Amino acid sequence: MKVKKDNKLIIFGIIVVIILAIIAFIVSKPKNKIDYDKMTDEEISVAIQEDLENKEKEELSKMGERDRMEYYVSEFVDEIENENYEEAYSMLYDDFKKNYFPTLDQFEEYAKTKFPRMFALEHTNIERNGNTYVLWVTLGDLLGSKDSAVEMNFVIQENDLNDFVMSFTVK
Amino acid sequence: MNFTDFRLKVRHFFRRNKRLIIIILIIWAIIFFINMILKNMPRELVPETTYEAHTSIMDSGSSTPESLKQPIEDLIAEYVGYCNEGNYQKAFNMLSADCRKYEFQDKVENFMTHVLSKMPIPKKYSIQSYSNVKYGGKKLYIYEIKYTDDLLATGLTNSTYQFTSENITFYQGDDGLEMNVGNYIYHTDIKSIAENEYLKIDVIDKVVNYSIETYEVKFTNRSNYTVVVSDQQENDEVILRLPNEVRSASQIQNIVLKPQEDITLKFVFPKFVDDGDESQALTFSSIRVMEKYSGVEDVDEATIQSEIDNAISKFSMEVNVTE
Repeated sequence: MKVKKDNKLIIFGIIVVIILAIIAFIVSKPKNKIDYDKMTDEEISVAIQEDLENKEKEELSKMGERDRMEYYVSEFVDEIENENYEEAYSMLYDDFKKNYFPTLDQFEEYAKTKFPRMFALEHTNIERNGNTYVLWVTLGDLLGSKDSAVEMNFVIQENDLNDFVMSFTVK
Repeated sequence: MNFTDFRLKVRHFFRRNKRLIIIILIIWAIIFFINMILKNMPRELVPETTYEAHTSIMDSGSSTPESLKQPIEDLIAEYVGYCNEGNYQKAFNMLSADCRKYEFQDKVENFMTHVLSKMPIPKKYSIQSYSNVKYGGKKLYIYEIKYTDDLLATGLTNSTYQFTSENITFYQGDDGLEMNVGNYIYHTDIKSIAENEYLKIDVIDKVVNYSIETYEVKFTNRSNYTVVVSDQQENDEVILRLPNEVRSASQIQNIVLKPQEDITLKFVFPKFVDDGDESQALTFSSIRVMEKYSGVEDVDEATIQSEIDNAISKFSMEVNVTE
């Protein structure tokens, strides 16, 4: 039986559609879902942490560089507000730490005395210099007077998404 | 038209266009599934950035070839490293012979002065491809290098954000990748002459920096009269002609040649190397052969004008400078 040329084309098209549908099904299948039932508490906590970090990276990958840099500053500021000084200290550039805060205690003391208890951040400018960014930030004290706002710089070097080091103007 | 008629017409339409409808559906399905696949493809999460060190700022469609990117970065790192260490001789040796000769007169002291003006203390740096231009069949890759203090180490404590910068040029020479600094781009021998019975003008060479062109010109007075090429009495006495405009020389001195005298001078014109224009000619538009010339300083206007009016000859001369 002879198959008409048009029919051949249609059959070929249908085969292509079927192949594409199979590929689309495979790639859209949710990745290995974590089975929390078979995990220990410690493993669950690590898995959740990893999941959160991945989601954060995914969000950051959608941001422009200015938004990302402002996000990193706000991360640092959040850690200080929440008194997680060790976390904030770990974000600082090694040479900056050596120059101004050789120990965590010194940084903690500085943060407690120089940074407000509750921040209001206003980003006024940003400059890029290679892969280093300089941000001009006005740091307001939500609990203090208007005059208590301080202008300062943050310098950030981004190595990868959510992988950065920074420094700030020591007053 | 009742419902049965309508139903029959629709059925008839579908029967008549069955093939076309199936083809359209297949195309739609292909597009739909391809779109779905692309949307769900695992993608690498990388920071979105506007920083592309090797893509030209002046022409975003022009990039440094892949094979040169790393060698250029390595050369810059080595050069800045030597400068930061104060090892000026080694940094100087990295430059092309032309750059050493025409930008620094083959003197490491001149180079040192240049380096200290850009980086008086050890500096960090960042690079950005600025523009790519062609000269003599060679492609020149011009980078801007910015020198800053170690901003990360200080957080700008007790300082403000500032930087120095210069253009560094790379090109493939006979012995590999050559490097020029100090905004020096290239040198070319022009050897172009214009002459008449009174005056011979010989444009010897041209040195191109990023934003200026410098011409070395020899004037020979062949007459027994004073020849005035420039004394600020006329407009545009020395100009560089481009295809669609002219540029006046910056800081021209008075050029007055005594009988049979010859002098060699340099003329500097503002011109960006990547502006797309090629310099065409040097024009000396108000040359005067004077029977009597009293100069222009402390001389009254009437005398100056009278001497100009009585000039033996007035003419302009143009010397071709195309490469």
